[in-house]
Amino acid sequence: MKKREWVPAVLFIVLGIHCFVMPGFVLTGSLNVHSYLAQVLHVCFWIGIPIFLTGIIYLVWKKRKRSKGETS
Amino acid sequence: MNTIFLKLFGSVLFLFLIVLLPLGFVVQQIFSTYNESHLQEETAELAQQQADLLPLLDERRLGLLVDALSENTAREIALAGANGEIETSSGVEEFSPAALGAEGTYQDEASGREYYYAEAEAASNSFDVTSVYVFSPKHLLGGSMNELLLALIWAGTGSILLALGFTFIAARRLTSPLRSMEKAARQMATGNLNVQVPASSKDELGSLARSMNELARDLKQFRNTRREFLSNVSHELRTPLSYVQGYSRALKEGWYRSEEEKQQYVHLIHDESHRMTRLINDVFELSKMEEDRFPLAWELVQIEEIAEAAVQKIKPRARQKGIDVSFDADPDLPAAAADPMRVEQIFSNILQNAVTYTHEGHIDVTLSRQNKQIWCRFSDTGTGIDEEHLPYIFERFYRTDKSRSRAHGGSGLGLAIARELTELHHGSISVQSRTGQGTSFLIQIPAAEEEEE
Repeated sequence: MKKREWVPAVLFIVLGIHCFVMPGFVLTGSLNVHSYLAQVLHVCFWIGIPIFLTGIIYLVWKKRKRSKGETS
Repeated sequence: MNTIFLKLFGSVLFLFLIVLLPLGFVVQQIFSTYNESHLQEETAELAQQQADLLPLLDERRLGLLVDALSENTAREIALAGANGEIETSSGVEEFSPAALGAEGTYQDEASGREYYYAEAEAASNSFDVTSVYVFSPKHLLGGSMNELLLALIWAGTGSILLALGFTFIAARRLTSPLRSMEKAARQMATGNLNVQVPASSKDELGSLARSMNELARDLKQFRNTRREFLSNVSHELRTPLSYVQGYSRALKEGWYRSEEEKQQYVHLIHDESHRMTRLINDVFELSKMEEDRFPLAWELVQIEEIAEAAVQKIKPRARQKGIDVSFDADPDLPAAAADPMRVEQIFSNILQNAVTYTHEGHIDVTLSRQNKQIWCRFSDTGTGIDEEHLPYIFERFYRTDKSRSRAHGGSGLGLAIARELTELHHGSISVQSRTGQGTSFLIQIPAAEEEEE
């Protein structure tokens, strides 16, 4: 992927995270930088869980495949 | 933007909308129902609290209770007597419990507001109030539901944007090799066969990329072979044709001094036309062999008989050059399934080459059995072939000595035909040679299986 192709992808993701942060403020009615960043971290944490799990599964699968290739 | 990328992108957006819109509707319904029941419970509890307070109040405090509930909250209160008539209320004067029942919804016509209301029976008190009705306005729910809806819309939009962002990356990475392949295929279509598609992955796309690279290599080889073939054929035909043209013109113009010279020219024209015919026949046969359209008359044959016949045929020519040809075959050689005429053609081509390039010494033909194969070895003590030429000697028109080979009269197709015919017989042909010491060809032909016999 070229650098300029990353721009729309990152933009979508950043906007998506922002949209996920907003409901917290709509319901509580309080908005400040500290709570905004805390909410961003929370959302990123939940986004990171599937990415982390997928990465672990991929590494395990790759390791198994490599060890199978060495034995065969 | 390529179409597959847009399709992937559009599909994910479509899937998310399909899932998120009904999910949003259901979540909103769940919250709405929950809030309504919560408000009803709260109203009933409040009515009970007010009813429990009644026996403890005097006239003045009763008025305060009604006013406090009405002014400090959005709720209203009504107190009914034993006859079912409303004794006092905080703004819902037209409410008639007899007509509407103990709990439910009520719309006040004066204010236009809609309420949930609940009744609680009052303990005995000094005001003769038997029932307390508390009214909670429905618009209390509306505000929180709107906030919830807005939060759901934010979250839904966020999930769609996140999905699009990650789909963008995935789609780009997935379609990137496809775009490279499409570009390579376009270049191949315009004749550029030097293209290479990156094939780093081990999945189906990697396999496809490797196949495309192989295809490009094969096409390039085919194109080079075709060019070389056309160039060789035209070159091989041009030389005898120029002889025929030159000598026929000499005859036509009478450029000869004697009848003997005239006959010499006629012989030369005949020889060259014979050479062209043989060349054209060889090319035709070879092309049929390469396209697997070459018919073979299969039968069970004794290879040693065919080899011996080929040796006998070459012996007179060898004798003229003073070369000795020996033949030796194992006594118990098995039969083989083969076309005898074509097998003899293989042997003849090899033997003719051996006689042509052997100036003194001998040619040995030995046949033996090795496992399930018949090995036919043709060794000579001729000029031999340089190592650099060995990998190419079975290619069409390949000549080790281009300046002298025409003098020997070959078409340059003998060994190519021998290899093709051997392979058509499911056999193999190989060569070993040393410059100045001689050459040895080994032809391996599979022996017939018992059921074939």
